[in-house]
Amino acid sequence: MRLILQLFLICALAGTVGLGLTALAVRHPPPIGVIEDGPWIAIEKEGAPEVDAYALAALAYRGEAPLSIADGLTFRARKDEDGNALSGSCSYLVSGPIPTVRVWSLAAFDPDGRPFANESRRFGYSSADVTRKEDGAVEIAVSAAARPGDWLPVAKDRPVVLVLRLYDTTAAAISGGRSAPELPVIRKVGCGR
Amino acid sequence: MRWLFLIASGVLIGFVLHIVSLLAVPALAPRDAYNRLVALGPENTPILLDISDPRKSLPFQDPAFIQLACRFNLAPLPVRLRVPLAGDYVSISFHDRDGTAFFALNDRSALGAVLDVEIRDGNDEVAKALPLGAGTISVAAPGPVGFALVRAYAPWPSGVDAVREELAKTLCEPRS
Repeated sequence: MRLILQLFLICALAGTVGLGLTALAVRHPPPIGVIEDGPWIAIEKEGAPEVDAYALAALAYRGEAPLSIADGLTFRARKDEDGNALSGSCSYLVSGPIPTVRVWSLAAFDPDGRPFANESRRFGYSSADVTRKEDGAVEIAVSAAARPGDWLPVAKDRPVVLVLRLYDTTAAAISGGRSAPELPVIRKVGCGR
Repeated sequence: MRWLFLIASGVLIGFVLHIVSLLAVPALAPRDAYNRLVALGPENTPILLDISDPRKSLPFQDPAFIQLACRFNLAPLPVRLRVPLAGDYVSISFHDRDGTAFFALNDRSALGAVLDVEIRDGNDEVAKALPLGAGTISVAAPGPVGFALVRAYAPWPSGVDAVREELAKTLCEPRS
């Protein structure tokens, strides 16, 4: 009787630890081989044949197909420059230079990877349809309420994931000797109304 | 002491279970990219994705691109993929069943106005020995089943309709 109880304890503990860790890992994969600039994070080998098991499991859990390493780089941001989670109840300004690549795009999604429905069907900005300042920098407002200039609408009170994709390039080609390319900053402008 | 041993062995077996279950996730995930494409259309057929409808697109799909998927099955025959060069940037990425991107190429590899690719099973010696048409690029897949994703850059709003119409002419079919 005691042996059965002990076996049961071991199994219950193993199941909780093992499956719990896996459930956690597919939602928040450990940062293995990442390239970071401020809140922007890319997994270097995500789109390579030798992708690590954590990154691959997280992609499969989300239902996402990775951008191949030969096609470009995917940077994701879930936080602003100060480390606070991006939320539709606040407004942000994404500003600064973007590395020189053939094509880049910036898009906003909810945590499930769905774009935010809006009247103007504006789900993101890209190299050919963004407004550039004289020095080549971009300035894109991310908020639920309409803004003048380049405005990327999100839904009020929903968490926001920003995805910046740089096409036909590699991290090494655009980092200029740094560990990561220099990407625009995500600054909180205000919250509430 | 005995309890400590019990807990330690439980945690240890838990770590092993974590590794095993993690490795099983890509094969077992019910809503991974491949399974989502299964719901959208048959294999060896081009499927035009639509970013404005979450049921007809993949999560985190880039809205700056018109995207088309082709779920390939190379068991009977290699699969031919002919992609018109719609827009300023066109690429094809190739993924195996669990989503791993094993290869990609873009419009810079095209000889004419189309990217012409034949996907062959890298383990199938008979298929690998088949003659290849002039201008066709051969891509060796690690297994018989997987999917290809075609991306064509379409700046919003001016480029979208024209690129979409052009990309819809993509062919994805078994080798004839």
